[in-house]
Amino acid sequence: MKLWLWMSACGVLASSSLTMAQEDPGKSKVGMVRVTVYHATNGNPKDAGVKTTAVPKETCERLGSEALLRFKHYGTLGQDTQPLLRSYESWAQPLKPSEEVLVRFDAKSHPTKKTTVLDLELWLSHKKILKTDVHLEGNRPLFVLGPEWRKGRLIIAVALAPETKPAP
Amino acid sequence: MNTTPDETTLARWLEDELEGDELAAIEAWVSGHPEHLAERERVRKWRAMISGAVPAAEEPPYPDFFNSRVAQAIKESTPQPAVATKTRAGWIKFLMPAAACAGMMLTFWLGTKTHSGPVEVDVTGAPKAIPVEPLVYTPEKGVEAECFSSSKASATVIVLNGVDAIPDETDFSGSTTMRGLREKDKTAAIQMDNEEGAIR
Repeated sequence: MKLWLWMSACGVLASSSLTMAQEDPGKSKVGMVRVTVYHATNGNPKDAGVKTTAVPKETCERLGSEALLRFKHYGTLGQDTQPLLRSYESWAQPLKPSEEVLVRFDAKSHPTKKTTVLDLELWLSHKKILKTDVHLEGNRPLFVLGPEWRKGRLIIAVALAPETKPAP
Repeated sequence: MNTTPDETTLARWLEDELEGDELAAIEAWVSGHPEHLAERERVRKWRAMISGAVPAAEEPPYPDFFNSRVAQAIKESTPQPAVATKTRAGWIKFLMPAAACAGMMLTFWLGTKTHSGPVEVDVTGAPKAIPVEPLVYTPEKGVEAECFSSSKASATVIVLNGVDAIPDETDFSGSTTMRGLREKDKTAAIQMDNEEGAIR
């Protein structure tokens, strides 16, 4: 009988601790951030040699409109969408399982519906290459012209992702 | 008449304030009292001495309602400043709204003149945000970053120079992150300008 009571008490204690952990307000989601890695090249896009996905026409036009980002061909290498947490940092790993490109970010101020200020780091080959604070808006991303790779360059795009509604 | 005067009448007699019958009556009584006559002489001498040493007191010009008349005289003696203040206050009250409007218009005009750089066009029609240059830090030696706001691309652009190239041997073919790509993006790939389209 005593053993049964002891186990019940432990169970209640464990469940209350779990509830407290789940209710951590710092882990509440205040937005979604999408990190996309493009391969941009003026050569043969097949040099990428991997399964790339077509880049939307709007994105192609947007990248091509800026001289420093203008290439003949663009392909999407990977993409990762991570929640923006109220108090904690998040890591995006767009080329999973590779950790060649990692983006760490957290909210620098309370985000609004239209704009978000991020404290952002870009890690390449496990080295912190760039640290910046950036204002992101609904249709105003951040483009980072990154390292060379296979006769082209990687472009890392960071943008706010629309909220995904759960399927009914 | 042998009536003894009261003290008040006697004091007034000493001060030479009595007249007529009252004076005659007390003079008749005092004639039998030489000590009072001597006293009056002493008071007269004392008064003469005092009046010689101290100037005679000036009677107030307006004994009746003295204070109110003095206050009125003060008001009348300084009429100009009061009128001038009232007039200036009226002008200020009239000019303050006009001056405030002029100040706001001038500030607005200066703001339009100090704006520099191209006007950014937000393709979504969303309100334009105030462009703020982000701080950029590159901890790695030899790496430099150029940051600018691109109005054409409607984006913030950072160009990294001096970054080590990723070895061509690195293969991202195992990337699993594209499996969840949105259907919209896949559809858009058909319309892209990129002639090669998706490489599969």
